[in-house]
Amino acid sequence: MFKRLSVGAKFNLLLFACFLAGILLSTVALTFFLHGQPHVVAWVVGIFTAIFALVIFFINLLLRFAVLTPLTHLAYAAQILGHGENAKNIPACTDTCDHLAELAHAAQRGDELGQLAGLFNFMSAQVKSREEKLIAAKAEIQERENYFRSLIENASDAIFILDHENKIMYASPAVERAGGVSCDLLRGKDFLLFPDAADRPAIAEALDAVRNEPGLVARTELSRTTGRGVAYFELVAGNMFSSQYLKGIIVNVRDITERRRSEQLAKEKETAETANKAKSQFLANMSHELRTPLNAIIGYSEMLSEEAEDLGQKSMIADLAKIRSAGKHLLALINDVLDLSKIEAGRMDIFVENFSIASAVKDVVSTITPLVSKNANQFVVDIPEGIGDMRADLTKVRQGLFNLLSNAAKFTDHGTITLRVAKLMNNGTDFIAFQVADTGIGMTDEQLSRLFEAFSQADASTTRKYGGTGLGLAITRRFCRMMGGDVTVTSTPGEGSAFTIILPQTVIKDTDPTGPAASAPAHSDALATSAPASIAPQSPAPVATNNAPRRQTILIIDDDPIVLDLMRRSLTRQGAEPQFTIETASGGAEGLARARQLKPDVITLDLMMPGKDGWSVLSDLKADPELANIPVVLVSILDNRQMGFALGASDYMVKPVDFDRLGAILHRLDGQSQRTGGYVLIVEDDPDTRELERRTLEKAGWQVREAQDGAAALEHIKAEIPRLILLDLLMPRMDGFQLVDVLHASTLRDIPIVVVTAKTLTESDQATLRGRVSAIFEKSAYTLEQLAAAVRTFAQKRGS
Amino acid sequence: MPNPKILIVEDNEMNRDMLSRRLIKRGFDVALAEDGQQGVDRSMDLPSLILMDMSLPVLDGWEATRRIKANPVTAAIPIIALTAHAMDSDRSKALAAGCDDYDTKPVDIDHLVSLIHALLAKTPNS
Repeated sequence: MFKRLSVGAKFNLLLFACFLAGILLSTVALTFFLHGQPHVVAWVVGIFTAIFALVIFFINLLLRFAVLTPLTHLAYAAQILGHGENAKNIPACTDTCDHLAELAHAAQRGDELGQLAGLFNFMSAQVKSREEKLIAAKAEIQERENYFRSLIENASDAIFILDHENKIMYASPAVERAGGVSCDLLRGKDFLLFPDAADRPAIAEALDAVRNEPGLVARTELSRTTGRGVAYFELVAGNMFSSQYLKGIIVNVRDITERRRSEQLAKEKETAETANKAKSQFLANMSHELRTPLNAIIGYSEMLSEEAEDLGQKSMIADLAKIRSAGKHLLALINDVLDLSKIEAGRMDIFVENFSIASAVKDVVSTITPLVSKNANQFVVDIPEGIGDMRADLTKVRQGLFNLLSNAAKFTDHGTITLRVAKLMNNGTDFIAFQVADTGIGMTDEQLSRLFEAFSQADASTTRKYGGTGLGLAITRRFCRMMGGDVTVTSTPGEGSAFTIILPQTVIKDTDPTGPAASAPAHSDALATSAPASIAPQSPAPVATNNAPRRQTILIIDDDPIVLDLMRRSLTRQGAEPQFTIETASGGAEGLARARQLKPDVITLDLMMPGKDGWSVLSDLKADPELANIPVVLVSILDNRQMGFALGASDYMVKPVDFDRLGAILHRLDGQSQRTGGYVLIVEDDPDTRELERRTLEKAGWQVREAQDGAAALEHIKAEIPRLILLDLLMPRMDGFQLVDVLHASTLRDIPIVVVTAKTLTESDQATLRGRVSAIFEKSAYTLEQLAAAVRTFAQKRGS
Repeated sequence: MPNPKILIVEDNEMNRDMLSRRLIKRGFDVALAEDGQQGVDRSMDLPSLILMDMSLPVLDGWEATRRIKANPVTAAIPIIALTAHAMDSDRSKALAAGCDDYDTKPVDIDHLVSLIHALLAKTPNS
């Protein structure tokens, strides 16, 4: 009961008890004093004093237990709270738990101190929880800072933060790694002191632009001559003054030397390839020019030797035979050079036809027998009965066999030459093997290794002794490979050699992308099959697959599954049948991987994605030489076209996506545009001819546009794709051949072209145009009706 | 029976000369044309057979062949295409354009004559 009272009440109670005792004892003492009993008074005073001392003692106890001890606990607890985590370090607080426990115990009490302790405990709990939250928040901030710091510090790009005056406030470790200058030394220096003087104005301009426009990102390129050559850098600056922490311009300097170098190499490679093609083209033309007079030499020497025989002038016959044989040898050389240069120029075509293997071999054998028996060789032909037909390029098979057999004949004396034919099976495909074995001089391994290289007979002296160009085997091998086969050899010096040609029994026409035959099958077929009797039918199944228009692959990179689904559906819906194969990737890294794997025709790219964002994907795409040419359409809620175009995007769309526009962009980019104009483009430099053609076509109901040269024509074509082009060949600026080349190399090669020219076309002109143009009209050799009819035919073919 | 008449369509003068002299020597009558258009025109004289070079001015050999074969009057005349070596594309196109056979230049006269005889034997009118 006493315990439950507040400290004040306890005091009051004790004082009141003391007061009552005092009055009682005073009354008793006064009574005894008045009755003359002083010793009793002394007793009373003594008792009073004792009681008083007792009260004082109790008050003391009360103060100590009820007030002082809890206050001490409170004081320590407050101290603990104040020091927070560091409380353990306070000497007096080593027993912290006791104080807090006592305080909690005190809080159970009902008195003022109990309440105080209770309030204190509540407050301390609040403080503690806040403190814990604060620590967690601090840790998070620290972690994030560490993350960004490590990003910046480990980045291979050099990163600077500049103040208002372009002074360096921060330089990332990459700067030190690259330049060898300590980041501390750079601090406070003017950033513009470091680039080469020539690059300074551009950089200063970029930095100024960025400084004046918050949020703007500028880029520029710079180069630096080092001991190892010229290094190229890309500089990207962004205004971060609005950022609470950076308050400066962030400058990112990336080394793009490798990228530049690979671009440079690609360009050099292209130049070299062009030069090589030009060389081959020259050889092909030259060979043709050489052959014409040679024909006359051979022909007239043959005629003269016939005459000499008739006239009985035997002495002349031997000399004339020498002229003829030298001429034939020269012709063979030229033909080989022509073959090889045609192969190298990518203009050697394969013409497959069905033929009987036995009769083809018989043909070759009958031609080669005189040559084989010349060195007193025995000729054995071993061909299994009923070997049947094969489908290949007969001329090239014959040429290969002839080449192997004449080599065998040349290098074998008093020996045996065997031609063996067999059917083989490999991976479910039937192959035909032709083996030519001889018992001649054979070859060493070293000789074998160079055997199939052009212009290399086993050694130079061989050429003098045995003749020949050294091109035969190189040509044979290439022919075989073009037909999906090969030629192999085994040989032992002094014992002989065995060459084996292996070809698929059914050769499928090669789809070499650089060869004109494969890339323009529609036109060559149109020319070849327009007559009723085509005896060179195409094998339907494999060729049809090769010629079928490939659907365009579009890769959509977006993290939003709804957008992916929407884009996929809207793009597959466009047009009667799906023209696009849609592939999707839901993140930057995945998108990049898919792009590498698929090599799509067009990529649409979202910018805001978690992880690797669109900007970074775009940079990586454009930095990869294999992917750099794929058009990229940025699709984003951010409207930042300039940045997009600067990074190499082909087009830019702001979300929400207008699917019709996207469809149109994709059509434009993949060159499969269906917006074929209904007009005929006349490309002709002579105004009178132009006028004549225009009137003829307008009368036939065509809309006509005119261009006076190839360059002007390209402008028209870019604006709208014509149904057909009527093309003159000889024009200033860009002539007709160039225009045909440009169109053929682009996605516009399907536009029908009708050539109208006053030029007498040489064979090489025709070879250049063949397969690339639909028809050729030589001026004055056609009627206007014929021209109009041709335009109708070819334009409709295009339209259908 | 008169000698079979061969129309030689060839723009190169020496080739024309050689071919004609050697064919005449082997018992043929010869008519000459220097380009495709002339070839088409002379085909109206109904020669027994036409030797057609393929790369010709004015009208090339393929087109000339196509026209001759498209004309019901001249369609039955056998045509042998003469193509340069390694121009396999020319050869196939020649056959596609309607030529009955082909031979490569420079011609092996005996081979060519055997081709001519084979084709003439097949043609009912000769």
